[in-house]
Amino acid sequence: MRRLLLLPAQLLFVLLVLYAAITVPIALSQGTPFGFPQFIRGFSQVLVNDFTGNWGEANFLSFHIPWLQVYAYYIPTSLQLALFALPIAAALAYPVSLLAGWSRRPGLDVSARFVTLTGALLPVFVIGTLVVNAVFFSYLGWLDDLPNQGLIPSTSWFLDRGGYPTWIIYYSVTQPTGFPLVDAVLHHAWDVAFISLTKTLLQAVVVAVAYVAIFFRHARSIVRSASEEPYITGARSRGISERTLLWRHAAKQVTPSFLLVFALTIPEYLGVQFAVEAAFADYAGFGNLVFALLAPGGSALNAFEGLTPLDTLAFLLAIVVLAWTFLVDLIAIRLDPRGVLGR
Amino acid sequence: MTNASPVRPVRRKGLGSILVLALLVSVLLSPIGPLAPGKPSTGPLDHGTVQTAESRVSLAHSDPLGSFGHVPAAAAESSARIWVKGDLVPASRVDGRSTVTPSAHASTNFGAPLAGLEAVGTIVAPVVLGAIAVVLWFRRRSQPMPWMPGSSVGVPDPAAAARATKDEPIVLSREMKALAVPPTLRQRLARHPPSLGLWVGMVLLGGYLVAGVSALFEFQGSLNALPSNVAWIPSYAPLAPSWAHPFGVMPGFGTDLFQAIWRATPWDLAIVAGILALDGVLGFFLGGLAGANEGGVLDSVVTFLGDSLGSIPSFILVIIAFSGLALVLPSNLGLPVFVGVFGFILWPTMARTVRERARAVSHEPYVEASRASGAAPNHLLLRHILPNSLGPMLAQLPLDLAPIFFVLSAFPWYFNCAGPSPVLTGEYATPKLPALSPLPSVVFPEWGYLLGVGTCYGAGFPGGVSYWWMYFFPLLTILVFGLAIGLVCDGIERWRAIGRSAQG
Repeated sequence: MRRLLLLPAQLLFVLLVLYAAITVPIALSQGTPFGFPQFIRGFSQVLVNDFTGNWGEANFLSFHIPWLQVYAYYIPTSLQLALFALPIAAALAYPVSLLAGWSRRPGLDVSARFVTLTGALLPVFVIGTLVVNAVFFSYLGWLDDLPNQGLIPSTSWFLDRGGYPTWIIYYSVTQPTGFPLVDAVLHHAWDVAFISLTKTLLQAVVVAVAYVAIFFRHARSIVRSASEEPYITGARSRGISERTLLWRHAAKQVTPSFLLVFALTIPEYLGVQFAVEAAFADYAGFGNLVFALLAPGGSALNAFEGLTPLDTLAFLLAIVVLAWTFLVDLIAIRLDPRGVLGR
Repeated sequence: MTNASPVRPVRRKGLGSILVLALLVSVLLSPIGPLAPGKPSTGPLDHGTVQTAESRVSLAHSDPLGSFGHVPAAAAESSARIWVKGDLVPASRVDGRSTVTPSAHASTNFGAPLAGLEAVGTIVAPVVLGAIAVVLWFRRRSQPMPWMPGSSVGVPDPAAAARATKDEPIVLSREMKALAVPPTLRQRLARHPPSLGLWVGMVLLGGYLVAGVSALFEFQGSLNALPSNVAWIPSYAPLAPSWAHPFGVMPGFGTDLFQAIWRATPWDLAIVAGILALDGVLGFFLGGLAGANEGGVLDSVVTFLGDSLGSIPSFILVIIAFSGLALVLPSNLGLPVFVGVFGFILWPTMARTVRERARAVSHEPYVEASRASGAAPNHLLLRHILPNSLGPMLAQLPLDLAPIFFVLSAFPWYFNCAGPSPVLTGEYATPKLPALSPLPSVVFPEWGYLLGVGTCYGAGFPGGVSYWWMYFFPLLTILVFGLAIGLVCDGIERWRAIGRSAQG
C-alpha cells in the first residue's frame, strides 16, 4: 500500500527537517561540521545507549540514562491522562457535533461558530490555571492535598502520613507499571488512588472540553454535508423520524470521517494535553517535559555530538502522530472503503 | 454579428515589472535587507546612556525621523526614569535633574516610530506584492475565452476583426453582456449588501487599526518598551482598575495595562499580519495549484509536506526552527525571523484544506464545461478554481491565530511561573524572557507576553487572591481581535456565497 511506503519517507523527511533546523545552526555557531549520516548514527546512539549530557537548569532533567528510558518515565502519567481524556472528549464531541450539524435553527449556527472560535483562541493554560485555582485547589485542599506534583498527592501530604511509600521512586514516578492510579491500586493505597483519580478526571475534563472546540469545527461541516445527502431526504420523505435519521443513518455515515478528523487533529490534541499538564504542574507528565525542554530555549539546545533533546522529542512525536494517522486510516478504510479510498 | 468582441486584449506589461521592482526594493529596505535603517536596540534593560532631561528633549527635537510631532519638555521630564534596585521609578521621585534613561529611548528614537510599520513591511509587502505579481503573470499568459471581452479567439477573419477594432462599436445584446462581463464589486455590493456580522467585524478591526496607528503617534520614541513604574508595586498589593488606570496595573515593572495593550497594538497587528499573509498566500496558491493538478508533482510535494510537517505539533516545530535560526542570525532580527518561521510552518495545513476544495471544484460540471470548450489551464485556475477555493482559506485564517498567541503567551507563562524553576517569586520579582524568545526585551509590549505574565501574576498563586484584571484584559484583547478577524472572514465568505448562488 502506498501509505505504508510513504511512512518511512515521511520520518526521514522529519529527521532531515530537524537536522536542518537545529543541528546545522548549532554546528555553524560552534564551527564544527556535522554531516547528515553522522547525525542519523548519533541519533540512534542517543536513543538507546548511555547518554550523559547536561540537559539544562531543570534538575529533573539531569538523568544520565538513555532518552528512551527518560521517556519511559514520563509517558505513563500522560498516557493515563489521555486514556481518561479521550473517551470524555469522544462522549462530548460525538453528540454535540451531530446535533449542531443537523439542526437548522438559525441562531445555533452563529453561536456554534462563536463558541468554536473562542474555544480555539482561549489559551488552554489560562483555563487550566483558572480551573486549578477555582475548583482543584479548594476541593483538594479539603482532601489535604496540593495541586502540584502530578497525578499523585503532594510531598506534604505524604510527609503528614509518615513519608513516601517505597513504590514512588522519583517525583510522581511510580512502580511497577508507571501508571499512578494502577500502582496505587496494586499497593492497596486507596486514598492515593482516590486523589489520583480525582486529579486525572479534572485534568481530563479540561483537556476534553478544550479539544472538543477544535474537533467540533471540522465535525460540524461533515454532519452538515451528510444531512444533505439524497438518501436522507428520500428517507425523510418516507416518514422516517428525524431522530432515527440522525442517530441511525447520519451517525453511521459520519463515523469514518470523524475518525479521520481525529487523526488529523491529533497534533492539536497533544498540544492541548501538554499545556494542561503544564498548567496543572504535572511534573511527571510528558507535557511538562516538552515545555521544560522548549521554554528555556538555550539550555534545551545543549548539544551532545550535535544532538539536542529537541531532536528526539520532535521525532518521537512525529512517530506517534504518523503511526496514529496510519492506524486510523486503516480503521476508516475498514468502516467505509468507498469514501476513504475516494479521498 | 460575430460573438467575438473585437476589443484588443489588455496587456498589463508594465505593472508586473513594477511590482517585481517594488518587491526587490521592499526586501532591500526591510530589516533583513542590507539597506535597513536603524535597527531596534535590545531594549531598556541594558541601561547605559546617562542623560539629562534637557539633552533627551534636544535629541528628540534634532532627530528628523523620530519627531513626528514635538515632544513637549514637560512630557519628557515626567517620562524620565531612573533605575533603582531593579525597578524603574519616576525621576521626579528621586531627583529631577540627572537621570538614567534606558538606552532604548536614546538609540531607537531614529526608527522607533516607524518600527511597527517596518515590521509589517518586512513580511507583508513582499508576500502580497509577490502574490499579485504571480497572478498578473499567470493572467498575461492565460487566453481569454472566446465570448469574453478582450478575446481574439474565434474571430473568423482577421481583417474583419481589425476593421471592427477601428470602426465598428461593440454590439452585444444585454443578455450577452450580462453573461460576458462579471458584475463589478460595486454592482455586487448593491445587489447583496454585506451581513451585519461583516460590518461588526470590520468596525472592530478598524478600531484595532486606529488604536495601532494612534499608538505610533502617541508613543513615538518608546514604542518598544512597556510603560513602567506607575508607582512602587509589590506583588501583594497591585492596583485594581480605576479611572486613572482603566485596565489596572501589573506588579513588577508597575505596568499600566491599558497603555501596555495600546502600545502593543501596532506590534501585534504587524506580527499577525505578517504571519497570516505568508500563511494565507502560500497556502492558498500552493494548495490551489496542487488541487487543480491532482496527482501531479506539485500535488505530491504539497501533500507530503503537509502530512510530514503536520505530524509535529506546530508550536513545537516553531520553537525548534526559531531556536536554530536564532543561533545563527543576529539577535535583533528576532521578531521578523519569528514571523517568517511561523508563516512557513503554518502554510502546509492551510494548503491541505485549500487543496481539498480545489480538487472538488476542478471536477465541478461548470469547470469541466469550461475545460471542454477550450479554456487554458491558467484561465481555469484563475477564473474558476482559485476564486472558488477561497472559502477554506477564509475559514482557516482566524483559527491560525490560535497557535500564534499560544506560542507568544505560553512560553513566558511557563518560564516565569509554571516551570520547575519559576522566576516570579518574591515581592518585587520582575518577569524574564526565555533565552531564545522572539521578543527583543523583557519590557517589550506584546499582547501574548502580557497575557502570559498576567496569568502568572494574576492567577499564579493557587488558592490565593485572584487579580483578575492582569489576565482578563490581555485575554479580552486577543479574543476580540480573533473574533473580529473571524467575523470579517466569515462575512466575506458568506457574501461571496450569496452572490454565487444568486448568479446561478
